[in-house]
Amino acid sequence: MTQAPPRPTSTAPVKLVGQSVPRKEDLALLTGTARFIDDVKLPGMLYAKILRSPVAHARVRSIDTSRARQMPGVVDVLCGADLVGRVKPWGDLMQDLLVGDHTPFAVDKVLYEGQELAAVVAETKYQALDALEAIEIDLEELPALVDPEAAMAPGAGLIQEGITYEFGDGNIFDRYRVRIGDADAAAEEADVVVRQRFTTNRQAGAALDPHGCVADYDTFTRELTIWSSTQSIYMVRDVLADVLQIPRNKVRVRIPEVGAGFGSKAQIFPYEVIASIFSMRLGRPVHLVLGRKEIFQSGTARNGQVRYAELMCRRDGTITGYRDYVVHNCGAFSVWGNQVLHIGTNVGMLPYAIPNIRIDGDIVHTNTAPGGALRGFGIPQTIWAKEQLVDMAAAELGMDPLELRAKNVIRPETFPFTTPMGQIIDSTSMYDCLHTSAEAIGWAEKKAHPVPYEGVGLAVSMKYTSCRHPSFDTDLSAVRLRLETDGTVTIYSSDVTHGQSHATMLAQIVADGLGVGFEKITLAAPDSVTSPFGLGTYASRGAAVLGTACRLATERLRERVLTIAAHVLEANVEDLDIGNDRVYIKGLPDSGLYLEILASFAAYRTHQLPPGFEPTLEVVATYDTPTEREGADGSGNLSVTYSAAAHSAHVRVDPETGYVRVVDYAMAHDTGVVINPLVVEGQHQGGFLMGLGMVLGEDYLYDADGHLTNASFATYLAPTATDMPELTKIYEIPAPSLTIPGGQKGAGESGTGPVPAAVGNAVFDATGVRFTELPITPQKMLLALREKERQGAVTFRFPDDMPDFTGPRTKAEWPEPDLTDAVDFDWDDLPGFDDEDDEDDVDGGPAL
Amino acid sequence: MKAFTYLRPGDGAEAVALLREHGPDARVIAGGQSLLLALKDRSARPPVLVSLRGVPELAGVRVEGDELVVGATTTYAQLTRAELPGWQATIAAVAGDLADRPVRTMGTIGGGLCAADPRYDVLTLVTGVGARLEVLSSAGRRVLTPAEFFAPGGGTRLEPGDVLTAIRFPGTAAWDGVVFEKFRTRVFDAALASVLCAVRLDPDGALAALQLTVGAAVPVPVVAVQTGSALVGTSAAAVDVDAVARDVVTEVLPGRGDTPALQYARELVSALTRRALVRALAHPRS
Amino acid sequence: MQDVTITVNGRPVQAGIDERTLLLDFVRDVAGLTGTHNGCLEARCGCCSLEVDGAIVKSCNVLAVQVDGSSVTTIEGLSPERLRPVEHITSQSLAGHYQPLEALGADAGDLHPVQAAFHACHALQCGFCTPGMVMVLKNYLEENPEPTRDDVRTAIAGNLCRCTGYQHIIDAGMQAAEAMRGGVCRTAIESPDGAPTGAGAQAGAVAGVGAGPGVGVATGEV
Repeated sequence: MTQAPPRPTSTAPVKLVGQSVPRKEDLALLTGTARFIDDVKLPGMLYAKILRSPVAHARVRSIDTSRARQMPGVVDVLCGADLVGRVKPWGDLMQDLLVGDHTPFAVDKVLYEGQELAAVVAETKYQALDALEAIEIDLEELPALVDPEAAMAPGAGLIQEGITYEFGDGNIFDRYRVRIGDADAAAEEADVVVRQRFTTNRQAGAALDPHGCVADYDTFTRELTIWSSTQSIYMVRDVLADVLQIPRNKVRVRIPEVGAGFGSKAQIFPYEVIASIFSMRLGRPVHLVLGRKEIFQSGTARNGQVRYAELMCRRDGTITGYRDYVVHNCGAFSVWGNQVLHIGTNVGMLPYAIPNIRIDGDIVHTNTAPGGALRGFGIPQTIWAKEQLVDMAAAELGMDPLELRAKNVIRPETFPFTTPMGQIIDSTSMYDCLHTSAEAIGWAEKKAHPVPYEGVGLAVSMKYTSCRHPSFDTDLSAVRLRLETDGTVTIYSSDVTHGQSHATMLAQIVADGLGVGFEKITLAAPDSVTSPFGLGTYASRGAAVLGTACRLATERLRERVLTIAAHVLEANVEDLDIGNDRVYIKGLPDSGLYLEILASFAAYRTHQLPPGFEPTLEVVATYDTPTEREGADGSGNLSVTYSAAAHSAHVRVDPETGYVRVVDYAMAHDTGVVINPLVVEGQHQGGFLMGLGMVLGEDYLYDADGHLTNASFATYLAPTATDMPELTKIYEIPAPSLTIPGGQKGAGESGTGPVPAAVGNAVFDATGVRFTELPITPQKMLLALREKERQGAVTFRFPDDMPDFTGPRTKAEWPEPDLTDAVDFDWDDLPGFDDEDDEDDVDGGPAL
Repeated sequence: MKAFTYLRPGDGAEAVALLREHGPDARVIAGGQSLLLALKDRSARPPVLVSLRGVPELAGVRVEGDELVVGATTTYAQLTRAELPGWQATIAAVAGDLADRPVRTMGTIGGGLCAADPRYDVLTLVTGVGARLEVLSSAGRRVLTPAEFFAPGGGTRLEPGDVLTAIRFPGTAAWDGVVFEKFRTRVFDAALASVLCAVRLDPDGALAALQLTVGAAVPVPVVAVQTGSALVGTSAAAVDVDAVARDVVTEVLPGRGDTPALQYARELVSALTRRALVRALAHPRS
Repeated sequence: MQDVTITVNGRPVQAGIDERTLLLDFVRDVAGLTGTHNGCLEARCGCCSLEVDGAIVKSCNVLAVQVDGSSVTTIEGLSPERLRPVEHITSQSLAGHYQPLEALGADAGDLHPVQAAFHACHALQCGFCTPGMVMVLKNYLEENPEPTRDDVRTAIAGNLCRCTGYQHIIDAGMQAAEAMRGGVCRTAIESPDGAPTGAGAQAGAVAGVGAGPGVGVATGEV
């Protein structure tokens, strides 16, 4: 038995959780040795490229690939007709639909510009691109439905023709409703009701690392390996196996470095299916990485919304009700689209405990890019409407917007506190965040001494920390932890780190719990062959959910190590401690047994183990959050805990050009227990950038024919460094989660939620123009100012000025779309698909 | 990109000969910062590229008589660093603010002019200060005014086989002050509107010449000739800036159609005219 | 096909290439250095920035044939890898009995000041834009060693980052400028009134604990 020699530094182990430990991830990324998807190169690899539809809505008359097959270097060509009846459509799982609505290629109808029509695989990239030009397509163009309300109008053509949706009709493919209390009665009784139609924009994740994959099918083992730049390996594996109808243990998803996603890579895409099919047909690796224009067109964009929103207040400022009719634009189809409305609206009601809520939502297809997950997942949209209504109510009441918010934000005597919506708030410092943020921007002083064309604005929001999506009943992450036989530790997780610093954050947790050196801990790359099942990295789940799985695994491993040590040292477990890479008798940190000695017992010297001890130092732990499923009335505690964000913006508007500059910005957050402060600060700053892009520039600009006119970084206004204010006013006011064992809350998205509304409120303060539409571009700002001057108005809503709007609020009040030109497609005729249960019994919805 | 042949002439004569040999199939490439974008998205598909990178006589800045001669393949980076006297300093300032630093390394003033995108600042610059453009072809050398070089509806009037070899800027005495103002959404985006104000004063402080040129919001830069000439003789101190801005808008963007984009363009032109004029009149000789 | 020779990080690379080959593709596919990234191929995101004869370019918008004969420096050339003793991190070291094996690599101590500052300031998250950002800043700071924060913002305005909000990148640029001038690294972020604020204020203290990843932060051996 080897005793550790005494060490010169007789220090107690340093705890790492809570410290800004420099990241493990950095060195490879800084020196260029990190390998992203485009860097994966396999022997014999071919290059595939996709031919995408040049029009938004059309019937496919024919696609002739024969000439392309003859082009130099071309190895194979595929189009939709080749795959009919051979691959299973997908998209049903995440949306909780009866049938998938996604296919690798458009078959007989094109639903949006950029949809896949055909693909070529060739020896070189240029050969593949050259061959795309030789594919002859014959499309019969149909009128494009770009606007979601137009898509619901009478006479609007049907976009998705082949699918009968359980809760939809026409271009509405799903519905959403909330019934909490009695919002209609609250409206009757309220002293002040403010109402407005608000619209939001389409925003791209625009992660700089392109979407892409390399598929590699082994013709001997019949195993399909796919390297993919994705946020979720099991979503890709399980859907891909299902689509291709091959066993899931024959699909191996591997992950290179992933250069961000922001939600835009939290799903499977047609290119992953196409590359896989090519590789299966050819037995060679196939590289398929998308170009920037393709990513803008098809890589999913934030769902746009139209909200006819109302907020009700008593004279004393108490918010008594919220009523809303939402038209939710999902684009041509959407893997996550309906979920965005559910979760974003449920959690978007916070941080107020509103007693009466009535919301109806129609989730609509248009001939535009697929909608999807994007940082904030529906919350920035909801907050854009609701937090501007709060300012409008404050004006009606003659109250300071800060005071009105302070009166209404959740600030219970005791936690946990359950809201009427059903959210269980296990802790929050929202009230303090609100005041800290307002004070940092100089709220009182700036309100007292207004400067022309300058203004301040506030907004507050809470962000869920992971989520039990209504569509599927799970919210779990898992960690497998192995103490290697030399005392180092390997962490296995399927949740892909792509900027969130998992390698550092998890190592901090393991180092503290296991007493092992930070430098000895390695996070293995996610790989479906070795990583335990978990949902992936999205929904701000890393630190809290994955972190908790890691904490549980660490505790289990620690217990096993201590059991061996107690046996060897003939001591009681209670008398032992762990740290400095060893197990030692409490109070004697320089003595004890090295972990590598203990680890070797479990592998090479099993007679040293306690009797009956199973010889392994490898443990798995999962954490499935104690969250609820969504109720029929829309209520429910969908999230394990909620982070708080209170933001204050100070803007300056150039009255000659309309340029809006955010000159100062203050963010106060409750992120619970912070594992790595510098990392969390970076998350908030990045979250702010997404929000700033949403409010001041980023948008999908479609013409009337459904052409995306700005599918390029030259014209898509992603913020640059010069567009950003200095982001030094960042404050953490931790209210540790009482549900998450370590007290963490999600950090990734809480920086985005309030930004559009805070800036919108500040723009109103600066100019008297209340924007009802996003984004606030210089052109819109200036034309709004001129229109306000022309009308001689003091305040002015732009472009929609409808304070007295009162209807329609439910689908029943809207005219029916004309379905006569719908073509009966084969899905309905397939056995197992029953289209009887449509409109009639659904329109009434569940009894409420 | 479609496949192409890349030719590297060693001097201007060879370049012109190659262009003549290949006719409309050939395109000139200088820095390539505009052309490569078009090649990559296949909107330009020339089978032959004739590169001017190996033609030393086309690069660099020199003084010839009164004129400042800037070789067509002089990069924006080189222009930015050029220490130019008097109003010509504005040439360097414009070059240093028209694209991000890496693009300025490769991008050339001649390339920008031949791409003839009205949002490129150099079009407004050469038009506004009255530069002349020297073109070489197999027929010989000719010198064009901007109005002759640019086609009225946009683009250039260059024929296949023509090579822009130099930009001849007027001497320092031509103007007492040249001010360039533009508006763009993000710092290195192409301009949405730009205005160049060039002034020359009489010794008594009256305007001897005033040239207000609008770019970006129009297909090709337009000099507000009437507005400018009407002010000749006026004392600089007596110029009604707001009225001039109104006149420029009326002259350059007369009221036909009223889309939001056009309305906004008028607003921008008006604001930029005021700014340019105020600066030019305040310190014309600084 | 044309023969070109481009010296990449000091190594001449000669190849017969399709004329269409972008400098980006030459560096990645011919020279085999994948640290230079393709983010947009339209000269907008800046992920492909590298130096040609000391000047910064976006390599996706340059043909390899255009720069035949030049010298290129990529991110891999900033902190050259060299043979170094393998780090032995088990507690039971046999260093007294064996010389450690040598392996090729870079470590935190070899980083260029811009890279080091990025590490210290948490100026990278996903890291995809990082090589381009580092190259652009390195080139800019050599030209302007005493920039203001606004200068640094403008210097990287041709590079997009979707993760960081740029704040820590600007911090890193300022810190690197100081280091390149020979000053002392300053890691705390200061607010306009001079007082350290936010979580960044804590960063300096902790960043000082270890020189970088893999250095004994936790073991008490520091």
